[in-house]
Amino acid sequence: MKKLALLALALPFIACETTIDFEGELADPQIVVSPVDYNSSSEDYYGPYGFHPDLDTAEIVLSTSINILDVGYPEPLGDASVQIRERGGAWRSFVGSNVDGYYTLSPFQFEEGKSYEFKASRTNYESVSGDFSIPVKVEVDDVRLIRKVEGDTMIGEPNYWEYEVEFTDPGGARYYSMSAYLVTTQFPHEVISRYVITSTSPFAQALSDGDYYYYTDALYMNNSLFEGRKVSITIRVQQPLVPIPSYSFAIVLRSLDEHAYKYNSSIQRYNFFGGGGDPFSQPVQVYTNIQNGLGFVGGYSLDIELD
Amino acid sequence: MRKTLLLLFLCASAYGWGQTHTVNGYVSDASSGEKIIYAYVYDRVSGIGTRTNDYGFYSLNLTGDTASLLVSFISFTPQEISMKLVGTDIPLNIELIPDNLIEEVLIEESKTEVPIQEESQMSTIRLDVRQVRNLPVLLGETDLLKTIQLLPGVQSGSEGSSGFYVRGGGPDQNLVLIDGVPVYNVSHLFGFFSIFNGDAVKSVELIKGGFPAEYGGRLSSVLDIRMKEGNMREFHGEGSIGLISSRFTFEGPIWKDRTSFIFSARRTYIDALVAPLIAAVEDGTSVGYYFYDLNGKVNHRFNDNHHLYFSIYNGLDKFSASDEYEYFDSGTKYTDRFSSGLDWGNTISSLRWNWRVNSSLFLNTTATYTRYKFNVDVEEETKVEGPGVDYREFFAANYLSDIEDYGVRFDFDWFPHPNHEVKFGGAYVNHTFRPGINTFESSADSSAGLDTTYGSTIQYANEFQIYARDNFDITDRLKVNLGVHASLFNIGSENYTSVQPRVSARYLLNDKSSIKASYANMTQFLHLLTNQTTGLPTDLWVPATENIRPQQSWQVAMGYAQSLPWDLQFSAEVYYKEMSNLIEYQEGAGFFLGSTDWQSKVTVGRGTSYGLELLLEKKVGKTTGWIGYTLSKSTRQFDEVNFGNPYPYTYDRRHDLSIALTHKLSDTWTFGAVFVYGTGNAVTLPTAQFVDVNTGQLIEYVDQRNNYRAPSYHRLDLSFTHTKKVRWGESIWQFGIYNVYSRQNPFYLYFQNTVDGRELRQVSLFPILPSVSWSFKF
Repeated sequence: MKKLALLALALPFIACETTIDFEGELADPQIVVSPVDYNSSSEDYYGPYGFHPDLDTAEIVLSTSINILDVGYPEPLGDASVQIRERGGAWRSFVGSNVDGYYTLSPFQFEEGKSYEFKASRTNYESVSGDFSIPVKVEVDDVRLIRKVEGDTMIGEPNYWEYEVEFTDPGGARYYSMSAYLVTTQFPHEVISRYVITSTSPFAQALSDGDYYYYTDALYMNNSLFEGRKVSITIRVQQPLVPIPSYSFAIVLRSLDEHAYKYNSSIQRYNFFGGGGDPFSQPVQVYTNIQNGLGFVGGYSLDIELD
Repeated sequence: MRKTLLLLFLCASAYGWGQTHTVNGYVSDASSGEKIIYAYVYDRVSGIGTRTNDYGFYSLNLTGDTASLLVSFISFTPQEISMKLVGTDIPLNIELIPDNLIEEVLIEESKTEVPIQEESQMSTIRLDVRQVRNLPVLLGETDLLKTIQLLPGVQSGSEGSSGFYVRGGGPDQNLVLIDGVPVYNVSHLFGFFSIFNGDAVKSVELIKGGFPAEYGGRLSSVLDIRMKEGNMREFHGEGSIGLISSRFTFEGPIWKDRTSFIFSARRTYIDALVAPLIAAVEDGTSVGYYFYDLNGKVNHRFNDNHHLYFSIYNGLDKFSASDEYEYFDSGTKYTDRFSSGLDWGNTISSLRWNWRVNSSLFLNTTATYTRYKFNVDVEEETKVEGPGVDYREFFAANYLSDIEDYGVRFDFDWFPHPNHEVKFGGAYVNHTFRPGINTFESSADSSAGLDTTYGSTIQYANEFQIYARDNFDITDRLKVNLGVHASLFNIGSENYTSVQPRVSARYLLNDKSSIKASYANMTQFLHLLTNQTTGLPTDLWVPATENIRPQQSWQVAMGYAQSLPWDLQFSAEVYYKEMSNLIEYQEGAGFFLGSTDWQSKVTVGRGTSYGLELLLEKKVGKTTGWIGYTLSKSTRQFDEVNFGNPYPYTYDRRHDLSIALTHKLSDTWTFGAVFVYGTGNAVTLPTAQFVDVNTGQLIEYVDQRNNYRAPSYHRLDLSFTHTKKVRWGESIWQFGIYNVYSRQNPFYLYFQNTVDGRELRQVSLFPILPSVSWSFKF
C-alpha cells in the first residue's frame, strides 16, 4: 500500500518517452566537398581550410554524407568528375583517386582578386557546384609585444603574452582570421608549432562564454565594426616557449572570402562547443555553399608578420 | 510663445464650455465595499457611457435635466438609477449586489459591460476571475497564466509551463503588473506554476496591441493584474487544499467602511511528498523543494476624496540538496559533507494614494518597489580526524544575480467633456542590475585561505516616462484613442530617448458591430538573457547598453467586433508587428555558463510577426467561455545565427485553437472543459552527418535553425466543481482530469542510438492526471 501511495505521488513527475517518425531534409546521401592541403610544398602555415595563391596544386576530398538516423562513418567518394575554372574560363579537371576520395589538379595557381567556379558529379548522387574567390591580401602594418601577463588561476586562465596587431581594412565586406606561430628565423615558412590565441577586443569576435575568452587556433572576424579603418587588435598568445635566438614569432593575417570565413568559423565553433547534444546550449550550424551538397569551397590569401 | 500659451488656454477652455453636470463617484461591491474595476456606467437618456477606472472611479459629463444610469458588471446585478441633474458636481457612489446573493438574476442583454463593438481599445481581453476558477487545470492548481495561454494571440511555451508568448514576442516582452508594479519573474517550479494566487486576484486585463499611452517599457503585451483590497464590512476567509499545495486567504475590516486588510498565503508541500521517496533511495541524502507566495494589502479610506493603499507580495522558490557521509578506518574518522541550494523569488510592494481632486479629475500616485533575485550556493567540507591527524578542507561558492527597482508614478484621469476621457501622467524608475556576482571561499589546513568576490559590475539606470492620451468621440460612430508615450533611459553616460505614438480607433457600423484599427510604437530598455525554452530562474535581466540598444517595435492591427444574439461576442483581428534590437544567444552559447560579460555571447537582430485572431466569447448565462483561434507566423533574424538568414521563431505556431467552457449543471454542480490544439514548436534538429576531413570529426549538419516541427500539441481537460452552501460558508470540491485521452505531447526531442541505428525520441511530461482539491469560503 505504501509503495502504491508513493507511486501515485510520483505519477505527475514521470516522463513518458516514445519514438517518433523523422524524415529530415537531407535523408539521402549528399556529396561533401572539402578543400585540403596535403601535398603542396609551398607553405606550412596550417590553419583555416580553403584554396590560396601560395598553392601550386588544387587539392580536394569528396566524401558522402549519411542520414542522421544512420550509425556509421561516412565514406570517401571515388569515381567522381571534379572540375574547376576561373569564372568565365575553361573548365579544368581534377585527377581522382578511387579509394580515398582525393582529387588533385596540378599545376594550378590561384590568384588574388579572382573568382572561381567548382563542380563535381558522380553516379547515384546529385551533381554539386559552388563559387568562391581569392581575396586580395591585406597586410599587417605592425605587431608589437605589449606585456607578459600571469593569468588568473582562479578561473583557470593560463599565462599569456599580449600583442597588438595593426592593419588597415580596405572597406567593403571583408573577412579575416588571425593566427600565431613559432617559426625558424632563417626559414620563416618552417613552422615549429602553432599557438592558441584569444582576444577580448570586440573586433576580434573570439569565442567566449561571457566570462572567459577561449584560446583557439585562430581568431575569425569580419569588419562590420571597423570597415574601411585602421584597426588595432590586442591578442593574447598563450605563453610561448622561452624565446630561442634562432626562432621567431609570426602573426599570420588571412583575408578570407565569405565562404571560407563562414565555414571555418562555424566549424571552429562546432568543434569547440561540441555541436548539438546539450539541451541547455544553442545549436551550432556548420556552413555550406555547395549547391545540392555539403562542405564548402572557399579561398583566402595571407600575410605573415614576424615579431 | 505667448500665442502658443493662448492657444492652449483656448483649447483647454473649450472643454469647459457648455452646461454639463458631472456625475462622479465610485462603484463598489455591496457585500464587501471592494471597488469594482471596469464597471459600466451608462446613461440611457443621453446614450453616453463610461467605465470605472483601475480604482473604481467614474466620471460622466452629462447635459440635460435628467439621467437614468444603468450600472453593471459581470457577476453583479445591474442597477438602474434615475435622477435629476442639478448642479455641476453630482457625487454618486454606487454599490452593486453580487449575483450569488440574490435568488433571481435578470441581466439585460449586452449591458453587463461596455459592449465589445463600442470599445475603442482593441486587442484587449479581460478575464473573469470567477470563471478561471471553474476551468480544469493541471494538478488542480488554479493558474491565471495558464488561462491566459488559452486566449487567441497568446501561446504557451513547453508542456505545463506558465510562460506566455504574445503575438510572436518573447517572454521578456510582457509587462506583467501586480497593482501597477512590474514583476520580473512570474514562474514557480521551473515554470509549471505562476506566482499568482487566484484567491487574492480581483481583475485581469491582457493587452496585446494598440497599447494605451500609459503603458511602456515592453514590446508585446501588458498583463495588468489587480489584487483584492480586503472586505470593508465583514471578516471572510477562503482556502484550498490541493495535491501539491494549499492556500489560505483572510480579509476583513480593521475599521468598518474605513480600513480593511487582506492576507493570502500559498505553499507547496512537494518537499514533504518527495521526502519518503528520497529517504527510501539513500541514507544521508536529502533533496527538497518548495515554493510559497504571500500577499498582503491594507487600505484606508480617509473620505471620498482620499484613499490610501499599501500592498506587498513576497514569493520564493527554494531547492536544496545535501549529502553527508562518514566512516572510520583505523581509528580515523573521515567526514564528507556537501550541500547546494538554489533559490529565487520576487518581492513587490506599492504604496498608492488615490485623490479625487474634483468631480472630473482623479489622481493616482504610486510608489513602487520590485526585486527579483536568484541565488545559488554550493558548500563542500572534508574532514579527517584521528590520532595525530586533524585536517579540514572547505570550499564554498555563491552566485547571486538580481534586479531591483524603486519607482514613483503619477496618473491623472481627467474627464473634461462628455466626449473626452483624458489620461496623463509620468513615472520615474531607478533600476539596479546585479547580473551575476560570484563569491568564493576556500581553505585547507595546508594552504592559505581564499575569500574573494568578483563578477559583474553593478549597474544603475534611471528611467523617466511621461504620457498623455485622449479617448474622444469625433462623431457618434467614430471614436479615437490618441496618445503618446515618451521615455528617457539613462545608464552611465548613455542616454536613450524614445517617443512612442499610440492610436486606436473604432467606427460603429451599426449598433451591433464596429471596425477597429490601431497603431502602437513601443520601446523596451531591458533585455532578458533567456534560453527561451525551460523558463529557468537563471534568466538574467540586463539593461540596454552602448552596444546592445533598446528593443523597439511597431504594430498595426485591424479588427471587426460584433455583439451576437445569446450574449455572444465575436471579434476578428489581423496584426503585423516588427521588432528590432532583439537579443539571442550566439550559436553554441551555454545557458549555465557565466555572464560577467554577457554582451559577448549575444547577437542582436530583429523579428516579424503577423496573424489573424478570432474570438467567440460568452460571458453571461449558464454556459460561458470562449473559442479562440490564431493563424500566425513569426520569424527571427540575427547576423550570427542561421548565417544571418531569417528562421521561424521557436514559438511560431501556425495554428492555435483553444476552447474553454464552463456550464452550470445545477445549483451545486459546474462543469468545465478545456481543449487546446497547437502546431508543434519549431525545434532545431540535425538532418545529416558528414566528416570534416581535416579533423576527422563527425559533424551533425543542421540546415536551418528551427528546421523541424515537433508533433502538434493537443489536450482535453475536464472538471466538475461541486459548490455547497454549508452552515459556515461554502464548501467546494473540484474533481479534474488533465489530458483526458492521455495524449503524449512533446516536451523535448532527442536522438538516441539503438542496435539498429538511431531514432528520434520524444519525451512527454504529463499523461492523464486526475486531481482533486477542496476549497472553502467562510
